[in-house]
This record gives sequence, structure tokens and C-alpha cells, in this order.
Amino acid sequence: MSKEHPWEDGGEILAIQSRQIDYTKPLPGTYLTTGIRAQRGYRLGKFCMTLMAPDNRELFKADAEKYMRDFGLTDYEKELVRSKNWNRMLRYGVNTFMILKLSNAMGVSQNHTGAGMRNQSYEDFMATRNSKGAQ
Amino acid sequence: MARIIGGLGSPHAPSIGTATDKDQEQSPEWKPLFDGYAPIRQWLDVQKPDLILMIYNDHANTFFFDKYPTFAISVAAEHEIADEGWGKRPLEPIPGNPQIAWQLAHSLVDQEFDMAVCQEMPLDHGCLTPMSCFFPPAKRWDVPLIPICVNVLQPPIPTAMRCFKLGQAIRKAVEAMPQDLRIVIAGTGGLTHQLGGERYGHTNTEWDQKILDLMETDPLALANMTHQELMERGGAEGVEIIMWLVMRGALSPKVDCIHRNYYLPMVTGFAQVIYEEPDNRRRNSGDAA
Repeated sequence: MSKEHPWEDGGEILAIQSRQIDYTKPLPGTYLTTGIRAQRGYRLGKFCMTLMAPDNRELFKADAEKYMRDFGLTDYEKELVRSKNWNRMLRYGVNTFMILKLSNAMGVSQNHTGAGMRNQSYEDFMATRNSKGAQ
Repeated sequence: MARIIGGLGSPHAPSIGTATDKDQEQSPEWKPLFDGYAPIRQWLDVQKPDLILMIYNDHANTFFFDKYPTFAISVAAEHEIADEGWGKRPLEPIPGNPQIAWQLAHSLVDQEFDMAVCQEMPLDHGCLTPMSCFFPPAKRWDVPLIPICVNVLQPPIPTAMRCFKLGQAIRKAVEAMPQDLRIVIAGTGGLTHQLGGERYGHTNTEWDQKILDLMETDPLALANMTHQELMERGGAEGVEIIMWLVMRGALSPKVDCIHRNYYLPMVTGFAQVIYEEPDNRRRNSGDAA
């Protein structure tokens, strides 16, 4: 974990009081998109949203570096994209459903992102499922 | 007057829509799920509703976090198919009902449910998966749709009780309409699942079954739970059952559960139900006019 990016260790406590969710005791392995986290991840989330347009997906696939530069991602955000480390993106503040637009454009299926988030191989993850064909 | 004749519960996972489009409904992996839609298709065939109220959540396709409504209703005459990032599903746009939707919006805001009113609402899998499961190709789209969106993506999300009360307000709004309309309300999503973080793939069959028991017989027990409790048991996205509570709130305290199906193939506990209104049931059997 870096001091510059203290959220990276996954233990970030959001300073929010809510009757619905106890933010002082985050659920393990869960990064809700809210508060300062959602604020921080906003630009990268917006970047993911551009990939809903087929033309943009083509541009991204053809030259991801140029596409990221043209959009104006920070160096840290570019590095997150390159890393394909979906948990880091969640901790940074990008919503799961936005990440799926990015991972898809990078040729990674939803359950491959899931295996990655669980720190498992795809095969090991699939071995934990009831019916592998229904996906 | 208009009335709600029953409620449907359905999952809305995009993989289900893909299975439909790839003609895999009868494959061994998918059959246990699609068998659960057969009674729903049959019921809709018999009941011939005039309108579907679909309670669903958008998955960052219609809405982005630049502006994110807690509750939103579409008054559009037609709903486009969204490109979620991997191409549009091969479906025709789905008709709405602006007249009824505007009336509903007014009635709900009059009852202090302050809906965001949308003249354009491209639909994503949250709405398309149940629609394409309820209505096979030959029936698309015989029945118009009014989509009602609930924020489950970016907390603060509405409480389970608020969602139940929204359902009650929808029922009041419907019953105040002079038109002779038979309306079906559908709650979508869930049941237990989590799609982000190390807890990806969390499911809980025991809790899924308990949800289905309580949804039918004691929905207030669910409505009184916090998001924290729902997420602990059912995963972060397991909180989607608050959309089923909107549906349940729009129905009578006692409903006839005439269908219930459950299947957990991969990462989500899929459940379908038909809750029929008791007076509609009597009408069907000829016991009452």
C-alpha cells in the first residue's frame, strides 16, 4: 500500500453515518460506490461509460494508450486500466457495472473478472459453481 | 377502474437474455431456469394484461453518476434498446404508455414519492431480460411497458420499507384511474449475488428460500431489514430484492402464490414467482363477478 493512495489496501473507512449501512464495519471484500470513493472514481467511471459507443470501443481496442490520453485520464488511472486489476478499480471508486464495460472492451468476460477479484484462477473459480454452462 | 391483477418476480441477469438470443433456453444448463418461465408465459397468455409495470434497476446505461435518480419513471412512447458496451440485443423497441405513465407520475408525486420523470429511457438487461422471458418472440411486444427505476448502484439507496411503500402508492394510483385496465407489476433482480470485490460469487440458497417465503407471507419482515443485513446475507447486489418489495407492496396483504421456481447455476440465485390477486383468482374460477 502506498501513502499516496491509502485506499489501495482495501481497508478504507468512509466517513458516512447511515442507518442502513455501517460504514465503520465494511463488509469484507466489498467496495460500495459512494461518498468520497465514488467522487474519486468518477472520472474513470465516466471513461468506462464512453465504451458504450461502438466507435469508441474500436478506438480503444486499436490504441488504448491514445484513447486514455485523449480522454484525460491521470497517470494513476491509466495504470489501473493497464493492470486489469478490477479490485483496485473498485477500491478507487469505479462501480462494478462500469468496470464491466471496460473489462469487456479488454476481452475479459464477467466471470474472468470475478475469478480475478477472488484472486483465483478461472478454472478454480468455475470449480466452485453449480452449472458452468449457464453464463 | 384500473386494477393490479397480480405480481411477477424475475431475475434480470444479462446472461439469461443472451441464452434467449442464442436459442439456448432448452439447453441442459438453462432449462431449469426457463422451465420457470413457462407458467409465467402461460399466465400472461390467459390474463392478457393491458400493461406491465416493470420495477428494475438501470446498470449505468440510462443513467450515469453525473445525475443518479433514486426513483425514476419513464413516460416515453417507445423505449430503445441500450448498448451496454457489447452491442445491442436484437430486440425491437418496446412501447410505453405515456398517458398512463404521466398519470402515474402525478399520482406518485402527489403521494410524496418524488419520481424523476424521463422522456427517454433506453432499456438495459435489468428490464430487457424479464421482458424477453415473459414474452417469447411471437408475443413481442403485445403488451406495453412502464419502466420504473430504483437506485441500487450508488448509496444512499432507498430503504426496503420505502420501496414497499412505493408499491402501496402505485396501487393507490392505479386504483384511482378511471380506465378499465388490467395491470401486472413485476419486481426484478436478485436474489442473492455479489459481482464486485473478493466476495464476488457470494450466494446464499438458504436465505434465497427464506426471502421467497417472507416475500409471500410476511413482506414487512423484509421491508424492516437494513441494507447492511440484506448485503451481509445476500451479497452487495442481493440488496436488489428491494425492487421485489415494490412489487409486493402493490399487492394485497394476502396473495395467491401460484408459481415459484428457484435455480442457482453460477453466481446468482434465480427465482421466479407469480402472486395473483385473490379477487382476480375468484374471477378466473367464476366464483365472483
